[in-house]
Amino acid sequence: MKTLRSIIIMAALLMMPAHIFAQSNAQEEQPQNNQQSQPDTLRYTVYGMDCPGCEGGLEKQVDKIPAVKSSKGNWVKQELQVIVKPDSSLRIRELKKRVKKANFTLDMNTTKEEDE
Amino acid sequence: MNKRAVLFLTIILLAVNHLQAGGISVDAGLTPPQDRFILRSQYRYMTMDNAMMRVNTQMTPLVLAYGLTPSFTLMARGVYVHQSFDNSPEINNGLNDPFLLSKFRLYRKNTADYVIGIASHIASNIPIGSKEVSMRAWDPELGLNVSFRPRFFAVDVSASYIFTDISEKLETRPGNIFNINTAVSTMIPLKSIPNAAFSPVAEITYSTQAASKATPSHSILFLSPGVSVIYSNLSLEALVQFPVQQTEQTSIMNRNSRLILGLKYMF
Repeated sequence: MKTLRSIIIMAALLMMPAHIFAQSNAQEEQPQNNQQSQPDTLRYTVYGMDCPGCEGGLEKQVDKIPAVKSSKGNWVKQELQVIVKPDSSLRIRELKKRVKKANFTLDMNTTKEEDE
Repeated sequence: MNKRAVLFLTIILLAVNHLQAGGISVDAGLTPPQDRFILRSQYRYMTMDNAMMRVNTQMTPLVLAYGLTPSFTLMARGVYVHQSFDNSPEINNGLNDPFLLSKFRLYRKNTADYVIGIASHIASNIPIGSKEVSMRAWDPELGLNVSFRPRFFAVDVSASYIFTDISEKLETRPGNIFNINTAVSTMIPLKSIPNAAFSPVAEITYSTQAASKATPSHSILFLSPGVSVIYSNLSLEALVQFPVQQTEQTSIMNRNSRLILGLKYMF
């Protein structure tokens, strides 16, 4: 009986992160339906990402900038794509600060900018 | 319980408590981003034996880490332990001492070709665990962690020194412990699945414990092949630790191969 109880507790502890993962994915999917306008897309080179998990840490920080509608990191290309809200402008100083808080480094020499 | 039995239990618990060093994908010298949570859960199976008995231990550590600032990380760990004995119906189980760790970034450099990070940590257990699986003694720990990541490769080194039973609560104070873990891995992006990677890893873990009144100094070296599969913020990990060299003494239990299965989620 004690063994059975132990196995149940261990299984519950192992399942907990998977449950949280499923919940947060469901939450993330909802706001995407609200996109309406065609905002500006900016691309930057960011150093320091070494795995797929790093992208989320960078995006979490960059998404806190009020002018940012959404962002997407790419650890393979060492790239950050930022979609700016309409009628808003992104301050490079603030972006640099947020990238630094994610423990990465924004390369100011290789920034490309394009309007969609 | 007689003195010999208490000593024996102490040796088993010490081996369980402190040989959690190493064990797949330790971020070592790289502190996580600010406001980043890392949740890890593992299943560990290990056995120890000597001429008299064999101890089977299953452990489920649950770890939560949080990047308070880019250079300061807090981590808490709880471990559920289940122990059985081959020649005895006795079963020990319960929650081990909670473990708190703070990691400080000392240096980090990000370039197009590599990332280097150095961090130190200070940690301690809180001796309030279940009496069945905890010695209930303070064992603070100091450590240094270094990471070198040349693009798709990684070398992580973590060293720690554990001051066992600093309050001298136990009848026989165990010797202090030094652990060093080196992990070499490569990150292979999966072209068919964006934001996913496959990562083979090899770890070398060395642990040595100073002599005490009860036991002579002893050491163990593990060689551990493993693999991680990472998709976005979630990674699944598997590692087998093979003891390739260990001190053989009648008063010390031999450690056998261990299995570690785990998952990590970041949010």
